Amino acid sequence: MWKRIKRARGLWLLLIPMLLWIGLLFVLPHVKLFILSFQERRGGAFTLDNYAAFFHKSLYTKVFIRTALFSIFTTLLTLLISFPAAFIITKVLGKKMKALLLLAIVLPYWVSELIQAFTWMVLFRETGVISYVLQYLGITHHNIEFLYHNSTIVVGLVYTSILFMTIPIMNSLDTLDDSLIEASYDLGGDFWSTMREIIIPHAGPGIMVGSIMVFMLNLGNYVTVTLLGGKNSLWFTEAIYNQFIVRFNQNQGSAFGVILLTFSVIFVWIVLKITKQDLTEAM
Amino acid sequence: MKRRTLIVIVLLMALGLFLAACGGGSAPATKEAPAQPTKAPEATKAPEPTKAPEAKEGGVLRMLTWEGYAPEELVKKFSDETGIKVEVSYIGDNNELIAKMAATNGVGFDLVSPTLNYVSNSQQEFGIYQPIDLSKVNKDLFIPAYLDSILKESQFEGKPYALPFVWGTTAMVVNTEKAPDAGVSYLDLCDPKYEGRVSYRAKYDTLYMFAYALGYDPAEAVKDEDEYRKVMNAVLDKLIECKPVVRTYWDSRQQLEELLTKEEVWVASSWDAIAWTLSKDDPKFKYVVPKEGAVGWFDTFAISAGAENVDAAYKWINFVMQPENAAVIINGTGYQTASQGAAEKASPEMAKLVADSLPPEKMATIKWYFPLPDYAVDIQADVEEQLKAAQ
Repeated sequence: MWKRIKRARGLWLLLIPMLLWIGLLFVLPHVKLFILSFQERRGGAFTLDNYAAFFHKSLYTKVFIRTALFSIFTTLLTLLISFPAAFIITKVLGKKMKALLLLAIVLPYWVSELIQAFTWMVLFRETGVISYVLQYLGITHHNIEFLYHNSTIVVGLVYTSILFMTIPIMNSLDTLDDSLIEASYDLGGDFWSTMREIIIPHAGPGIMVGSIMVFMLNLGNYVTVTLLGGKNSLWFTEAIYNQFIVRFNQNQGSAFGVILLTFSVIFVWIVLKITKQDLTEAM
Repeated sequence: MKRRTLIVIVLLMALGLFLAACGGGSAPATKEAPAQPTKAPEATKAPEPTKAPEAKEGGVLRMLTWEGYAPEELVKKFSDETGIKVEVSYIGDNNELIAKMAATNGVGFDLVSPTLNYVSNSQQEFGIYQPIDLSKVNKDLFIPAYLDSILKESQFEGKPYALPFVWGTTAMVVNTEKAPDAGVSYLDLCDPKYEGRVSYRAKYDTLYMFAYALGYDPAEAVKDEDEYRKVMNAVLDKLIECKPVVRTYWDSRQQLEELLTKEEVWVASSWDAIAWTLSKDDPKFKYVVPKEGAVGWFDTFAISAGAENVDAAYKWINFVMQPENAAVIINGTGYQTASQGAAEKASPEMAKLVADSLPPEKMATIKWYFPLPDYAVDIQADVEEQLKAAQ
């Protein structure tokens, strides 16, 4: 009995840094954000105007929907690219190649997102590397601008989030016994039915975790979008930034923040329900 | 075991990314000075005090100013002359300055450099400055016309709150080889002839340029909310119509310089200092003031309401406004000062560029930034957002 309490106390001590971290840097700011979002800009009386403004100004709803759709689309695209990669790394390759490819996926994340975005700009700009190479190969005879399109934003976003999709999927595929795949073939299954019946269901939790993480990162992205998107790049995060910094309207900005948070939580919850995944199991 | 290692890797990565995103430093640094006429002249560095001050007999002078406005060279000279230690913090835009000052009612800073059009209205809203004591200022150091007009324009309840310091203009930069005819009017930024070769900021300075070009007077219109919204909406319509002509909206000095030197853009809006720097390296770039006149801003000296070392602040003003000292700032930033005789002491090359672009008759047409009431800030932000969102 005594021993158990003692052990529990040790456990709590170990948990303190973590609790402080979550409490001070996560819970407290969010509570403050929540309170601010219901206050008037001047005086601080209770109001719902900040939320009403979001629904009344079609600009914000439009930007919000655009941001959400882009995030969903890039998440799917990331999944499409990452899944085969994860499958090949875990199931097809030998140990050495596996380590090498894993390193290749992790390596780009040693530089910050900002530098990554600038690198894309060097590649994509009109007088940039890609345009030059195309001309050199004789495919085109004049400079081509790849920057400042919606597709450029997608490329940047997919690139910055590929790791967060690949690793969880690899993680779940690792636990899949190869003999199950062999058994499926032995019982007459072809590649697609094995994929559908055996591999994807097993990798489900990994796909879920990866998708949630990538979706959240895309939704909250600021740097990549503004740098690569150019003149058409208004993202919801920038609208929040504008409220805080340009307009001095903390309360409106907080309301936008709460809306973004609420949307992402609800969206993730719905997707989990539809795909019948359980977050505790997935983690 | 392996599973756990992977989870740890992912969590560390996510944490790193999260911290990078939250760091805040990175995001604003790339999108330079979103709300502000003035600029961080040279490469924008993280705002931090340059020196750890040691208490000495002269005390400490704490300044909050723009990059390049308190160069190391001058700080050292000042400390040697007066025994006063100087501690400089930098701001990226005026709203940041106001936010920092308002948070403590000015305590923590003695001398700040807000842009003129932000002085009287933020004094009214936050009371962060104290009136200028002209008996402590050596008026002979200032160009009289600037001194008079800034003392007048910064008045609140009959008292002046600012002294003139550094000024600059925004007009157009043109690549004269590619677009020899551009620069007559700001509407050239919308000419289909230059489709894809144009850049400007999706910010208030562009809104003012187009307002003047379309025949409005925003400085008058701003006094009435409905009128100002009408004018700004007309400008918005025009800018949306012009959107296909624009390559991209530029955000930072570095970005504009790159667009121009790589000849991806031929005609752009530009701060004078950027254009003059480019001209010095390659004369095909020219700073052109179109017929509507350049848009001008004036950064000032203002004394914090919570200043602890007011005397040191005035000493610094009287020191930095001496022509040979102000010349250091001109050479470092490319902007002009209100110091009498400083321009002649700065580099002759620069003086010539300035004289060419801004001869007296062009000087007379400068449209100075006007003070913005709350609603005007919101209207402008609305227009900026709608412009960026328009597809």
